[in-house]
Amino acid sequence: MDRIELVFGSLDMLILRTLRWGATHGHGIAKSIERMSEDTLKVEHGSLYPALQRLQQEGWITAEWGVSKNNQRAKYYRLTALGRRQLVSETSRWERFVRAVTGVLRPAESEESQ
Amino acid sequence: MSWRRHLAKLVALFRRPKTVDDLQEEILVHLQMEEQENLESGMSPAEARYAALRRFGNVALAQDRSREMWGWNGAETLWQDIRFGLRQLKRSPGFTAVAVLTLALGIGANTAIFQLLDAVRLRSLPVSNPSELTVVRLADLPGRRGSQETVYPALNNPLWEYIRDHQSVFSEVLAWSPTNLGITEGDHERLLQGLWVSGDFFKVLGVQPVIGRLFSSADDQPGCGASGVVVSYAFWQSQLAGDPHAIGRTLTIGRHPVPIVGVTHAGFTGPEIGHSFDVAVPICSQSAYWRDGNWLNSSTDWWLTVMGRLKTAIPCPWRMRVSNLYHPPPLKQAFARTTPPRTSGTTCISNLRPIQLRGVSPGCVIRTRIPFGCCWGSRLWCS
Repeated sequence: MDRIELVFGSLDMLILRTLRWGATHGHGIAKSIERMSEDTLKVEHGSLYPALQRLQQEGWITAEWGVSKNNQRAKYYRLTALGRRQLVSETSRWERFVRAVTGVLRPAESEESQ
Repeated sequence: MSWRRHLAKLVALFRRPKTVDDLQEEILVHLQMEEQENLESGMSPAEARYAALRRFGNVALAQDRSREMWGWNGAETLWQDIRFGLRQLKRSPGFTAVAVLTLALGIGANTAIFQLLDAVRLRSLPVSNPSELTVVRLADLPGRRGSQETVYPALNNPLWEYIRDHQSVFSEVLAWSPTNLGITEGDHERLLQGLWVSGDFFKVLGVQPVIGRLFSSADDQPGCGASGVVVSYAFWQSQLAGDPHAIGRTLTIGRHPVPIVGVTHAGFTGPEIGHSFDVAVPICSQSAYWRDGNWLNSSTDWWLTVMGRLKTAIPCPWRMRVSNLYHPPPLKQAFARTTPPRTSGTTCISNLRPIQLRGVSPGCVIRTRIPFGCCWGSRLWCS
């Protein structure tokens, strides 16, 4: 399957979005992004970790050690109230961006259909 | 970058957040989870491990990038570099010794040169308004006879007394000369750095006593003998142990018991920068201390440096003829017999020149500060 590279800056948003369903560990976040995008988005698991540090510094997520389903010690990330607000504003910005790009691209199609 | 991230990094500088220490473990757990999942989906153990690593990407890079987020990589690299440098230096002691020696000599030489520059050019006399001080010197030295007793421009005592009593361009005048004075302590004798000073010397320079009193014009009268001595703060501290009752104690100078009348304040080190003084005695007592020569009435012993504060400010650079000092009688005496008369009728009168005042350029004379670009040329006569 042909995978698409992430647009710069969108990883933060995807991580925040994933954490909306509850706290999870790095592996869980990676899997969840893959699953939600139906394996279209290519996320190198390693690239999550710098992003996770950054989000912590911003105060959008917090980290805590916990125990996974398989009784394994793992670090769980949790969305903060600040992160939740950030997600809302990021999402609306993203939607505006997508709408704008789509708006630019669409006229070509509509001209053909006329 | 938002202020929150800056703040987080700043805090991290002092307290390393646990999250960074945990990074390695966290990534290891991640890889194990992925590997487990791959195994469950039916891969062989080796394949499962390899697939997990491939999915993750470069593990070391991910760790570095995450650490960099906390802004430490720069400092950590610097620390590594320093340690590496020290190890290298340890490995080649010969090179290290040469490098250290070179640096040491370089720094030492620079310091020495600066100290010289500082003393000669940058510092001014530790007196009040040093830049107002002006030195009196003879405009023309050729034909002058007698002996020059000091490295500074000098006049003889009759000239000094004439100037003191007749001049009108200065608000205050003073005269001084450096000297060595022998002091006797029990059986042995040693030399002190002494100063001959005019009565007003300390008053004109604005020097205050710590204890006792300093000289006044009453102390500098003809025939005063070995009447009293003023000592410097440094001398008082080192030789008299800072004795608060030092006034009235006597020093044996040139076999005369001389009472100490006062101690100058700590900041005053004398009229010469780079040379301090121990004791100061009035000019009038010269004949008493030095039995082998009376300079007080001599027109041929040039030993007194005369300085004054001008009544009106004069722009630099300048030379000034002081009209009321033109052909002062003592000057006539000083030159009178020096030039052989060439023809009968022309006498030595041609040698009589006015006394000139020279802009402080004290740079040379008393080695105070030379204002840059001003009076620069006047240092010519100091060499």
